[in-house]
Amino acid sequence: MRRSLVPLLMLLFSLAAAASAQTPTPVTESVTMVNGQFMTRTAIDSPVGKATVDEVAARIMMFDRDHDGQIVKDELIERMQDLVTRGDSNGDGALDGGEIHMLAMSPATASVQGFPGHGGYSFSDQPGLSSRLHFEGALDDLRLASETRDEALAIVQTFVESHEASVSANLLKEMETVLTPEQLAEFTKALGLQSQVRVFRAGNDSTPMVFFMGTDLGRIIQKYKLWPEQSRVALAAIEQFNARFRPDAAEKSALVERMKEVLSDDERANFRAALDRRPLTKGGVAMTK
Amino acid sequence: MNARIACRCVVLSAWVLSLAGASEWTTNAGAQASRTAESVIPSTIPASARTLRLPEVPYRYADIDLPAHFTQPGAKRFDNTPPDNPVTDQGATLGRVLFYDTRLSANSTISCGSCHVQSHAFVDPQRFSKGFAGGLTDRHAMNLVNLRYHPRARFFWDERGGNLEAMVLMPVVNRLEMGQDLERLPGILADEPKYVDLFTGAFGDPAITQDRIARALAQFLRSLVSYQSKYDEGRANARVIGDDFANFTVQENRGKALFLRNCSLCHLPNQEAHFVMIEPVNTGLDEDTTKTDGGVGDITLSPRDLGHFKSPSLRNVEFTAPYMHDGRFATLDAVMEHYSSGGKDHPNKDVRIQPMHFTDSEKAALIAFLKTLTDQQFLTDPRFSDPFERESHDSKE
Repeated sequence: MRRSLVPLLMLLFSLAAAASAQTPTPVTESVTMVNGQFMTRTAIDSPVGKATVDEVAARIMMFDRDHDGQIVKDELIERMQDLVTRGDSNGDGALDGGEIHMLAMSPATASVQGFPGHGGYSFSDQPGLSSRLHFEGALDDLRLASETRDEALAIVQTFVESHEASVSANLLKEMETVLTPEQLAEFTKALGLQSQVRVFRAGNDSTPMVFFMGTDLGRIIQKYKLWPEQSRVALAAIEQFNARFRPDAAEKSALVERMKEVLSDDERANFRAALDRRPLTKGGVAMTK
Repeated sequence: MNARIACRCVVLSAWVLSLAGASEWTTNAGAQASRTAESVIPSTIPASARTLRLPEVPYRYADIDLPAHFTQPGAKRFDNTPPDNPVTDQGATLGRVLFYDTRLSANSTISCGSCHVQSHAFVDPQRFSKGFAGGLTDRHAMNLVNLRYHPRARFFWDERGGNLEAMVLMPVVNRLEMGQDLERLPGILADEPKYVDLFTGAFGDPAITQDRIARALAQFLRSLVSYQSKYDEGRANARVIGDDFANFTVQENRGKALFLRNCSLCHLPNQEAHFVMIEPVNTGLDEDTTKTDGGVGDITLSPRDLGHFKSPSLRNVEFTAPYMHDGRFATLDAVMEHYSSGGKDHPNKDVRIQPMHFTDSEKAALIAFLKTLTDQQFLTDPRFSDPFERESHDSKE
């Protein structure tokens, strides 16, 4: 019963996201729940191979031991010999370059029983998205004693909040120069959602899911139909904001330095390594602590 | 000795054997087979003459008591058991005998179990396996752990094999591996009287067919379920998987946290029992697209499949070295180093394979966690062991 709430909640959020895409601010587009977060953007979907038909053909021609430009069954490894049966369109008992290309352009699709749930991979370190969960997760993975963890967590939270507040303030300062007071109020409200985090637990024995509701600030600006120069300034400010919202390498180092009193050298090295690791996530519920 | 006395002697002998724990048939190959308390299948090769020893009451393979994390809906849907071939005690018993019977190879020298060694979680500890005629394979023998829970039901490193019923005979006929003629195989097995009982027990009549051989082997493979590791014990006693497990060390719990954060999306997808990947991937093992093993791409010829390989279960990974499709990594440290560095730049490298830059202590913690997936019961379970014994050996069970 508790489990059944999870897909329902996901569906509701998806519907809300779809609905909000058609209504005014705050704009929340293509909401995806990744690693316990709802994200406003999906960076990547299922990985797609980039090798080419030519590379596949070159690979098969590697088996042409007698260099006659044709591949006969005996030249292939036993597990590959069905290729000749599949691709020998002229019936000469061999594959030539053209037949190999034809095979590669219309490859066999493995007949597999359906299994949903794969694909939809993403990273939760996209520009403009809060780093709070990433940083707290990195700390959590150190499995510190609770007292030490609490001290370290306070430092992390103060750091992230201060950093995000500073970057947000800079953005609003720029926006003051191009937006009306009403627009600025609306924009400020939307900006507040940028790092809004909600925790949901389907039941006492379930893994908590952390939802992140963000907004696409650029779309808000587009909605205002500003003069070109104003729009350019606003969008540049948002770009700057997105680039700065997640701490850079120097800022991460500064955070790690602040934790000298709390963490050992080894713990700080591990924490720093985790901060530099891209947080890979997947559509749907993922592991959280 | 009249018939009544003889009968009493047989019953008494069986009772004494039973008290002594010798509940299996124990006659040597050369001895006169007694079908009352003993059953013997001498090997066709005198040099490796072996005796088949099976329990009088078949081991339990069906309906095993799995922990709760195996029976959750998300985990249950990984089960690839087809409705028309469920695991039965008699069917898996027959499959076990076939799995270890050297007569499945052309010259009766090797069995499936020759390259899939139980104490190594059913991999070959050698990088490449020796076929029936001495030739070496070009890939490492995959582990057979929890094959039942591969939801796509496709097997081999390149997924060329369909569900277990379809794939089990492929190594048997492979000209390098076992080289057997499937048309002849039922006749070869029919020469052994014990198979009459085994096939009758499994399928209701003694007919030996290719299909039944495949189905029995598939049942045995599906019975190879590892579920009694330290991880399983910890998970069973924890509220949620993210909580520290009471039976873990600090390092193991840290390794678990790192695994869940960085590895589980691929290796523990959407449930908490099956450490398998759903789809084959390219993990950046090689940069070259033409000279190196094309994996799935060599079978489908799809450009996007080039360099993709199926991933076996991580359960018992401590004992499944060497690692990867070609056994290139001798140790878990080497595997960890590969993922830490992010692999090589193959055009099909999966986007999830990013440099992880694990520190030394993180690598050690991850390996410590992986070792909690070791299931000693599975590695030594007599239900999965070789039921044939050499004549010169004493009873092991």
